[in-house]
Amino acid sequence: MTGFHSFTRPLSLAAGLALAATAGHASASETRGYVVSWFGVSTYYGGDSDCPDGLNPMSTEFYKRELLRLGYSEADATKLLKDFPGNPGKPDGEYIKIMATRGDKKTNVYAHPESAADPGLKEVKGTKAYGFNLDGKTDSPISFTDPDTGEKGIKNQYYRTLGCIRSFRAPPPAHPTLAQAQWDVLRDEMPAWLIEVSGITDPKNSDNVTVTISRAVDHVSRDATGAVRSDMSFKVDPDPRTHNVLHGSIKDGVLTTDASTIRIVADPFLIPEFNWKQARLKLKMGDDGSLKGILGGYHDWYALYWSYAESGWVEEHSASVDMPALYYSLKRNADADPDATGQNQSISTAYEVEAVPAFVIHTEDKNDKKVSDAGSAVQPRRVEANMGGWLRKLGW
Amino acid sequence: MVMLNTPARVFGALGFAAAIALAGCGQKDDSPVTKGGPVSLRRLTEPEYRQIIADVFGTTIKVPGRFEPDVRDNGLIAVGTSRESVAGTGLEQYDLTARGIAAQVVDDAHKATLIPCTPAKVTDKDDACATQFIANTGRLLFRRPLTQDELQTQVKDAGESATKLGNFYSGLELSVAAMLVSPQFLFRQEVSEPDPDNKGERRLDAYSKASRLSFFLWDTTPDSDLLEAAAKGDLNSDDGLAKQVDRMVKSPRLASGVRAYFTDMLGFDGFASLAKDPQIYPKYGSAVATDAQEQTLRTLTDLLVTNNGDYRDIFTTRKTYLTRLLGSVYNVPVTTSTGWEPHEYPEGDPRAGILMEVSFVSLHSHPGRSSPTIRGKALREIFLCQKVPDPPGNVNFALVQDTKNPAFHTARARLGAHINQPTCAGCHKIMDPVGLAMENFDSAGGFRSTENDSPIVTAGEIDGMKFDDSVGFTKVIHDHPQAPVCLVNRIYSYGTGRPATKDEAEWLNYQVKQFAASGYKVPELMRRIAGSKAFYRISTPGTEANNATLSMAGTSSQTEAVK
Repeated sequence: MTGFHSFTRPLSLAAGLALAATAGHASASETRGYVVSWFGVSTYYGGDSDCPDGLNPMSTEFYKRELLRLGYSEADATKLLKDFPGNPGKPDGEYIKIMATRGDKKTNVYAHPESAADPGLKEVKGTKAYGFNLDGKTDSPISFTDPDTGEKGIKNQYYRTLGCIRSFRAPPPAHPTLAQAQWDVLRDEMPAWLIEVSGITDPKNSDNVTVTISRAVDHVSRDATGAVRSDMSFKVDPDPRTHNVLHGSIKDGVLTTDASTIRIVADPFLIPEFNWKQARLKLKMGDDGSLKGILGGYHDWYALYWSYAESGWVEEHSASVDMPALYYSLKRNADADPDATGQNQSISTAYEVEAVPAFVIHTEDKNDKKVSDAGSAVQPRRVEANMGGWLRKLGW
Repeated sequence: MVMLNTPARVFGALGFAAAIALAGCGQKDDSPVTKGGPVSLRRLTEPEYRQIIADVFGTTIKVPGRFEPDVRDNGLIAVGTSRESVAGTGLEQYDLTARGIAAQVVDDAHKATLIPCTPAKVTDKDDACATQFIANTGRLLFRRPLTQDELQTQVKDAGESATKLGNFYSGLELSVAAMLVSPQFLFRQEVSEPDPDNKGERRLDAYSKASRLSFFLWDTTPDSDLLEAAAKGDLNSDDGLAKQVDRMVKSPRLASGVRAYFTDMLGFDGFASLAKDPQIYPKYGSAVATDAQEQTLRTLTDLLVTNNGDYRDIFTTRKTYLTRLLGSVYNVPVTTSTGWEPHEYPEGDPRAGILMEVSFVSLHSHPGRSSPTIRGKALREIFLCQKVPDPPGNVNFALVQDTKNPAFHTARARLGAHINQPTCAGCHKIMDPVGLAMENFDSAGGFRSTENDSPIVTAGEIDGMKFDDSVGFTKVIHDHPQAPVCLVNRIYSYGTGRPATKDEAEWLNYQVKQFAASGYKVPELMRRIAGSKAFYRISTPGTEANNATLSMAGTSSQTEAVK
């Protein structure tokens, strides 16, 4: 980096805007900055092969099923569901109250899913999925094979749970509906997520690089096509909760990191924060300066359940996610961190990550810190508050 | 209380006030005598309208509705406004806008501030209070005191309305709306009078002088001080005029006047209809276009007003301002989350001056590709006041439009082939070398070093002066003798609302010399023009021949003045 336009990609800047990279020296390493432009649960679309038992029912279907199970007649169930969104009727139809207590007719089924029996969730039975071999085993019955590389032993039980729900399915290059909808809201409302890769001696092959994942105090901007604008500047949120420093390497233009914990403060609209164990990244460094790949690791399965269930019937009916069914499936498919009873507390996951070049700015300025404290810190919130936010965002 | 507000858009002009203070208070106008030009009748531009409303009623008053587009003539909207009228649909728009403004003036949020008295009964008319409000407000809107007839009519109408509607403020509301659709407000009507100091000659009357002066220096209606000076006849004396000019030039509000002039000169109204192909230039959008204009205006006012710098440095300055959004286009980091921060192009950067900023290169390009020809034409016409003929109607542009032609990778190569057509060669030789110097910047203002994988060469020659690259080109334009000549001519036309006449060539020549002697200081140039008799002199009937427009032939001698 010797001059203005040798900025082939935005470089990370150190405090006070002094350049972090020691440019101009033959042995100098480079730091590249990125802002995350797409993040969503990774699902492999295999047509009919991944869900041979068929897809899970739409919410109108499983709501009707539940009404019939609760003793309502076909006519009464149909009458109750006339208020379902999209049908004529009231948006807060009577069926909602019934569904919210469909277990024992008094307990909130979203907060207490075991108040209802397991209705059963159709799960992925295909053999391919993206992710990582998190436990190092290739002969495990839950192992998938990476559809692109053929790597065996991939663990992604989260995909096994979600992959036959319609709102999690889409033939590439389309993204699944729910993930797309969530990201569309998040990228505009949530401070941006940043990735820095430092220690790059060769963009195609570097043995020792440091990857920093952090959160910005600034939000992303969109360009004229609606995509996340590249080459924008972002100041790093000084809150240490938002910083992750990983060790990795680049081989043949693919960046991978060693297993580590990764904590990403997000937004209650998706999940207040992600906390992965044994997590790692595998990102292809594109010639256009972009990053594209997978973040995978074990994650507390109940936190993932609650990220959907916190909105109650809203997400259940809009995304056709049968919450008790999801709960039992996640619990059943959890594959790590057994508790004293033998129940696993974590589930293997994988998320798609894409990022575009950005200027990442570190500053310790007190005023900037104030900005962070005022606008970015994620405070614990009550479930009701989160639901309220959800409802407002969905126009209810 | 009707008041003038300092506009928010003025920033940081105080720094240069001290320098100006030393420059010219009471300086004698020793410029050549001219025979003047015709009086003008100029429709307010939309920015002028909005600024007046902000100054008279405050910035919290929203100006609703749309305005008829302005016409550009002789390179300036300020000249085009002398040729504009109001169509029926335009009047409807003015009426809607006026009613919207008037309703806000008398609403609960504003009436206590804007109306200087309280009626005896809110439910009935109060002629005394109405007279006080209408006289104050009308003086600022009409840029002169209302005549007795005008005032009595307005008060009478306001009273009748108040009585019928049972509300004093409703009466005033209708009065304000009526004044805002009056030709006395919508048009800057200049009035001439015999010049007692020069028998047989004419000059602008005092209020017309005040108006011309205020719009020229501040881009708004005259304030109370200026109207008072007009009322007392001060503007007809050398000292009185100089005192007002000095007051206004020293004011931070001069920055508004400078911004308004360059907004007009640079043709920023063109951004309203500017579009880029989002698939080719995804970083370009309306927000970038807005910031790009502001960037250039900040660059100009910082250099010319805040730092009282050399006008020619607008072509070479490495200092500018950026937002985060613009930072993404310029590919540089910007630490300020919202708003602006200073930026200096580093040594070796291909950008320098306002010609290399996003505003100029994007405004003078096609939606999907750059255009050295359009950029070259724009530079010659805007900054050098050189008229470049339009292309003949039967030109085949297919070759220059084919950016993927495997035989011609760059615009330079395509234009090289295009100008083999004899009917095209003459003009392209004038325009293309200028525009090709800016080819490092695509249609959206982004940097590029290659086109279709072929290196872009920006070296060239303009008017006998060679340059090696884009920055070298900016230095050539900086030193081009026609650049300051063009500015003097154009800013004079801007102030008078008409092209300079042939008779005024000698006067302009003198001003060019003075401009050079001052170190090419724009505020000083504006002070000299505003303080001159020529700026207000009106041609007498029977001397229409004097009004013949000064052509570029008339400026060649001025070019000599600064060589």
